[in-house]
Amino acid sequence: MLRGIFSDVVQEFFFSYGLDCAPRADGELEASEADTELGSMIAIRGGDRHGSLAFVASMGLVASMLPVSTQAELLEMQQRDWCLEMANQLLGRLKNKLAAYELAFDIGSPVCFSGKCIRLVFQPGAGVALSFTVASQHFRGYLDWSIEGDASPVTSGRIRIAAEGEIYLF
Amino acid sequence: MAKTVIVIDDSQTVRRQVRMVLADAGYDVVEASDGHDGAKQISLNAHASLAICDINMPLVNGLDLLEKVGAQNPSHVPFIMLTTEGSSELIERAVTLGAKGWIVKPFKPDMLLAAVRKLAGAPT
Repeated sequence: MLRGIFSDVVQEFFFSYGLDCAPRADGELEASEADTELGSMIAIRGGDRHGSLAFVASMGLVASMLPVSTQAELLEMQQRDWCLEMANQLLGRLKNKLAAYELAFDIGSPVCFSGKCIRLVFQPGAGVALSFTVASQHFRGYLDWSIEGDASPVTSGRIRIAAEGEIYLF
Repeated sequence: MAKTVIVIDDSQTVRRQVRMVLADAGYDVVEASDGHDGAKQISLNAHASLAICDINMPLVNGLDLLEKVGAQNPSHVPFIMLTTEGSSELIERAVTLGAKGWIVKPFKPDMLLAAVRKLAGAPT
């Protein structure tokens, strides 16, 4: 279940920025050694369970998504800052989706990293790793968290989640 | 004199996004990079017409900042929360603490501007 929800979260995130995003088959996680990659990781804290959401993307993809004008001397810093915000928005989306299952957690502060052919490795049997093609570039998402038992969405209508872009004035 | 809006978000990119929208419309914009800085800027800019505040930030989160500011000055600058969070539980807490608005990221510039105009009035 978590794999499907996480995949939806990633695709909806990119669609919201007007980018095509398609899942790739398992095993297609490789990046070209020539690609410099940027990534971010953000902590999930919920009750007695802790975990993290992380992603790795080509630097070109992160740069192409920057929603503000770039400044050459600040470009690397701008890309890192945007990377952190991407992690925040991805985990926010996941949190909002899981609220429908009455699964709640707190969101930590993201960290950013960069390198080439970055690999995130889970303990055996743990975590979800997904790979996507986004606007002809690569994106890998990692979710190190689990749900105990068979969670199912609450259908009573008592859980209301505000959708992206929605504005409430009180 | 243009009205001042304080933008409190740990993402410089988001602060710049919001600044572009509001500055183009004629508002003065003051930025703060976390909850501590936000409290300081609210104190330094007592004339500000509105604060747009993230929730998940280092040091002090946005709702704790709102609570702190409200405890110090019940007639403080109105807050709009700008966040990835969308749970009704958090929204209800924000309302209880006195927030005047809630926007789920990513925001649409025209919608943000409409909300700011509604709460802060015209830029001048």
